[in-house]
Amino acid sequence: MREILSVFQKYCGSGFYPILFLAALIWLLVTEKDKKIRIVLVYTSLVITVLFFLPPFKKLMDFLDEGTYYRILWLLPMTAVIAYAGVRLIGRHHRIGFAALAVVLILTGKCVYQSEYISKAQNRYHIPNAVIAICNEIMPAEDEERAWAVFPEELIYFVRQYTSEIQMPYGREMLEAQWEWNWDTHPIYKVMRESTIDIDALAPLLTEYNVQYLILNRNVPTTGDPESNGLTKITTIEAYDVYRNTAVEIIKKAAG
Amino acid sequence: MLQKAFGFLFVFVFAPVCCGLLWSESMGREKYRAGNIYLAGFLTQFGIFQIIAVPVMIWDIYGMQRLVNLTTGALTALCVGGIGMTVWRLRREKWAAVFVKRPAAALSFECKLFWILALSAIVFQMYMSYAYAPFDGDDSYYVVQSVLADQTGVLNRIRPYTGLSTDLDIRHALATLPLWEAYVARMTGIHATIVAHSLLPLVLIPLTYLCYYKIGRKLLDASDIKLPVFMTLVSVMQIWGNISIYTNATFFLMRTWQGKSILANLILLVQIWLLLEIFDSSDETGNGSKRGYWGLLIVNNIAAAMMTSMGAFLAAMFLGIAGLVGAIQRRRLSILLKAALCCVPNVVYLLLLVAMG
Repeated sequence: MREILSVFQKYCGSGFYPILFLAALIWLLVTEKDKKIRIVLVYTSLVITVLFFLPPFKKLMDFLDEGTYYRILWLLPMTAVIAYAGVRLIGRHHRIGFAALAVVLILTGKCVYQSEYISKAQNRYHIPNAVIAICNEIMPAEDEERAWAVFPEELIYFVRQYTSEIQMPYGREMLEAQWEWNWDTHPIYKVMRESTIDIDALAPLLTEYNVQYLILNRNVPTTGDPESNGLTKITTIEAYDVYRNTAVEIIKKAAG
Repeated sequence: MLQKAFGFLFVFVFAPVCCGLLWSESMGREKYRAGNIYLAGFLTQFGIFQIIAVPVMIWDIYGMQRLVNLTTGALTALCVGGIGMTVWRLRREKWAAVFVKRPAAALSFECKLFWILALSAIVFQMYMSYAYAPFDGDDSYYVVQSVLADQTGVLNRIRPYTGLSTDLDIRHALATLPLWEAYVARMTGIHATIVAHSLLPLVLIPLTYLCYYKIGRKLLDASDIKLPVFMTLVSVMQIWGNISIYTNATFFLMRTWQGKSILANLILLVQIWLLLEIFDSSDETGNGSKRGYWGLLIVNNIAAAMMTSMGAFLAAMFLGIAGLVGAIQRRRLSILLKAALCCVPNVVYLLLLVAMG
């Protein structure tokens, strides 16, 4: 039961919409006369709410798909129920009633556009311009096989959203701490994730894993000399230096 | 440019409208309403795609072009059917009988103002979805699957994170929405990532509000001021619904293009709308008037499976509970039986998931 309450609390987060929903549901249970609304919005929601708080049901859901129990709450038509109850509650006092309800909803909610995970789009891909420029720089020619490249953490998510022509020895699976049990940390990532990147340790690994390009964030300190390790700087794009690992050749596509 | 225009018109206008015409006859007194036709057609497109994509994906590793050909062929055939049915009906009846001219409700000034407010809020959300970029790590899996299918023609056999080959990850692969997004990319010639991040929100956000409008019409008087007030309150709750990363409102505006979001913000809403229509006893217009809504529930359930592996289960669970409650309330076992029949695709899908997983 404690686990279920924890899921519910996490879903509620910093707002009160689920509480408003429960209040609206109880009010509609008492006052709603229309049978179709009682069936679809009230009784069905009540059954789902009760099921959600039953531990055996949680066990069943965990058996089917662990870690997604909060999605049961998606079955509750919270938005429609709160809005409908609100409209009925304000009756004929549309203007003042709407204003009061809107204020309550704004104060008890949190604006999605203030999220830390949202920013002005740099292009229609909605990925950083730097990723596009770097990928265009190292993109294989038509007669060349796909290129292999190592990127700094913050760019990894976006590279393959732009092109399938650039491959990476590791990807997002290395970045999610909660997935650590499922993946062995890639040897290259072990070097790349350090606060100071050891080029002397990194270069042989790049060659071992047939990586042709290395992209480094200029703000992350490094030790060792790239040139003496076979890494030739080909360009700088925004905050990133792009290196070619000369020890690994670029492979031409087989003819025919 | 021409391909973009034609592709867009086919996928988002021609196919939904003409496929939707197939359903119009069986929607009771709501037949030939533009919103109903479009929603029904859009869902049909999803359902048809899922039915074609799953076998193609399993049997043909390099099957993207085959998938495009089969889907376009099937949608074209359904469109011809929809147009044919409508023309046939027009031969029997007069145009006026089909496209019943509904007297425009006299809206008060205040009502019009609230409608302007509601529509402005929707347009604002569409603009923000285009101009702002939410970050979500899952895109490096789902969006990349679309990019891979579009650019390489390979269906779900490449690891999105790295580019190495892999076996079919059936749990994720059976939810074929990323392949549909690749299909849109192929049809329009637009990069799959732009399709997901910039194009689809402009279609899916108004579609979700169309669902809310349909729900609102069943809850409230359409000509009354209450409906635009309801719609505006819904918009307020979507914009301020980011109370945690788990809410459907957060998914709606932060991950609009992902299957989980479409499940929570379109498929489950369509279920509510369809059930409100089905349980509306004031609309008993004679034999079979609800057939279309029951049929659409089946299509909606197929579309639910397309969105996420748990979609089929969640949609069936909601329908099962509503069907049981409705059967008890109305004392009609047939409601429960029909609801169970609608869930057959969900059962087939879940069995496939267990058998291949």
